[in-house]
Amino acid sequence: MRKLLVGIVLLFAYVGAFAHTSGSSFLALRAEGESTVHAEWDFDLRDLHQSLQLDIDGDGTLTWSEILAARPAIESLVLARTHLSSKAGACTLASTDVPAIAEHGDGPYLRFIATFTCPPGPLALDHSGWVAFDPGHRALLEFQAANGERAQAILGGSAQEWHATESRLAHLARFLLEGMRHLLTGYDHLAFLGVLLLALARRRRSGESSSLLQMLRRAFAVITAFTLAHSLTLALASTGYVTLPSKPVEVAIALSVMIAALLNLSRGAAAHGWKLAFAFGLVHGLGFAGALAELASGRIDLLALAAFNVGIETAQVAIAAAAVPLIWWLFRGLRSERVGVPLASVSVACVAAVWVGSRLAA
Amino acid sequence: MRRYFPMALLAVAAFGMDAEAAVRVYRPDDPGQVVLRLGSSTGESQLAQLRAASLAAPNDLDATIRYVDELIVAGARSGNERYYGYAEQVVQGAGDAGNLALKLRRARLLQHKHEFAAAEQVLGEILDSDSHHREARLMRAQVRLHLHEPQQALADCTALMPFVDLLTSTTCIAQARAAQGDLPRAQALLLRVLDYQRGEDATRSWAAGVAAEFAVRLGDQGTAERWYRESFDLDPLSHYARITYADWLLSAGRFAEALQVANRGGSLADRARSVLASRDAGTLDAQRLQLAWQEADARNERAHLRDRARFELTLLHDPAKAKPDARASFQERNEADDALLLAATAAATHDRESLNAVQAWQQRYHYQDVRLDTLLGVSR
Repeated sequence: MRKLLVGIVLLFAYVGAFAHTSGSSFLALRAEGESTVHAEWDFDLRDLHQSLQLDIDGDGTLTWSEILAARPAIESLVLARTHLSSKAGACTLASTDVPAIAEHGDGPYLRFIATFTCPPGPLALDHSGWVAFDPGHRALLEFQAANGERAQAILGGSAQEWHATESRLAHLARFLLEGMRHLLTGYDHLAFLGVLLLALARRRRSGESSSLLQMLRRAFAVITAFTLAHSLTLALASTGYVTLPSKPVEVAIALSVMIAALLNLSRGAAAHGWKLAFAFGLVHGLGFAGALAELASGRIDLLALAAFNVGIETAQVAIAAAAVPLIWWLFRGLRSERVGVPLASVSVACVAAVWVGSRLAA
Repeated sequence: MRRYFPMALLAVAAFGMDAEAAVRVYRPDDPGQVVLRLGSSTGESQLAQLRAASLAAPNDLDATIRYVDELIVAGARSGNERYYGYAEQVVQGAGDAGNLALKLRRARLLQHKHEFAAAEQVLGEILDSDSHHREARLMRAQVRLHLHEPQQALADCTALMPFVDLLTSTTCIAQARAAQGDLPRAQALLLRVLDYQRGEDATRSWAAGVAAEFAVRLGDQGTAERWYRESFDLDPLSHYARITYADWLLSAGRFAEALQVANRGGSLADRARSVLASRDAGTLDAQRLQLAWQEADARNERAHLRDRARFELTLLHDPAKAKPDARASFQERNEADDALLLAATAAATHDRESLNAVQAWQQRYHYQDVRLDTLLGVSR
């Protein structure tokens, strides 16, 4: 008679089975500042051995040297099975540290220590790679946000992904800050604003002069026109009413800087500042919309749009508040105005011409 | 050895656990330091070879099945649940869903996860294709016993008779008879065949384990010891034989022997019995065991509740603390050991509601056990 598969059938038979708890891991994520995330993830050494066969000499034990020798393979495996991202895209690995052994209650785990750089936005963790490897796998996640708030989650079974929740206030604050950051680090928008403000220093006649207050009033008109225009196109593009590919928009923005700078060569530049700001502001709004879409991963609500726009305006007003008195002071003399403004404008136009060329070639 | 966190300063575990439950984190200074013993009982080298063979020939179903079987055996011997998870992954990745051998392994894994109804369905499909499939028949009988379907289990056990040895079919029939409420006759039947037929070691170990359990339920400790010992001696690598023997030794107050038996394994269940046998809740082993249970709690796992209830009841002498775990395990697993534990904690805390629940369970399933009778009788 053929031998019965005792190992498969009978070993179960004379006592009640134990529920299948299977593999486990412990994931600790700590957000540090705006874009840095520190990770300490403990993976069971037996799970790692099952995947990578770490017992090189086959003696039935894992030594520290065998684990260190396998460090690159372990890191690749962990990163392949555990994906960290934010709403705006995948986090990138910044560095890893030498792993450590973490003695948990049910045995030794390998602590994978790494730092990630993440785009802004609430974090998400995809742990499905481990669950696919072991359907009974359970992971305990602890997350500490930059503001100290903590969250816990259990990953396993149908819950293979975790998403950090973001309060409404934090959500709006993030978009507001991103709006400010986008303007302050967007050199083309800054250059455009700069040449518009520079135009305010121009005088038609040699006897004409303007007070700081007058210049501030004109700056207010220019900024308001720019704001209205780019808010309009930002809203239309963000809500999907206007869609344009990014390349022509980027070229048009660079062209707008060049044209505005060249128009500053005219002595009457100050007179058409607000009209120019409105016309080209429409183009810049399309550029802002591209940045916003990237930030929000395509899902934009109206409040977030408003917060982003407020951020842009806040930064804009702050820059103008600092730049207008400086421009007024620098070019208050006739000679400095006649020489300085055209010289600065031509310099900006040259740089903008290079941007046009490079964006066309991209 | 340099420790990042010295032994004395066990770091408070992450994830909000108590100070006593601390995860020790360190980096060994000595590259040759062993950080994990994989264990010879799990046949690691054999597993590695079968894994390599399975990966090298992904379309070779026989190689896949050999690997899955070895993983299941490793799980059954070590008591380490991970092996079942690995086996499940391999089975899920195998292509031919209709293959009977694969279906049998799938049913085995479902059975292990206590998904008895699903296992019964898969085994029914196998038997529809091949009514002589003896492994599927025997497995379904066991599943039906867990589903409290003794009549159907008996039908499967009887149908096995032409295809298996007498000891296997008789043990199966005795289990079904006992589940129908006729424990003394079931025991007599099984003991007669155990005396008459030797059988394969693994089969005899199983049959001896069943006979020992029957003897305990009948209050015959001498017979129970004989069969528990034989079951363990015949298959000392079996996790279940080890655990059940250790449990009996603990219940008999033979702690030194229980410690020796439990120390032969390394699973959480083995460690729980070692701690119970040591009679000291303050040891590092006891603390690490409690850490493991707390971590399992944090992952919403339930399998450890029975062992923790026993720890709280018999080592901490705190039935009030043990009762919630005992009740949860009774509701979750609903097995005889859970009924006994709940009855013991309920009797100690004069919890009539829980005692009534256990009594209702006993009557519903015709479960005969002098220990349970004593506990329920004492409380009245």
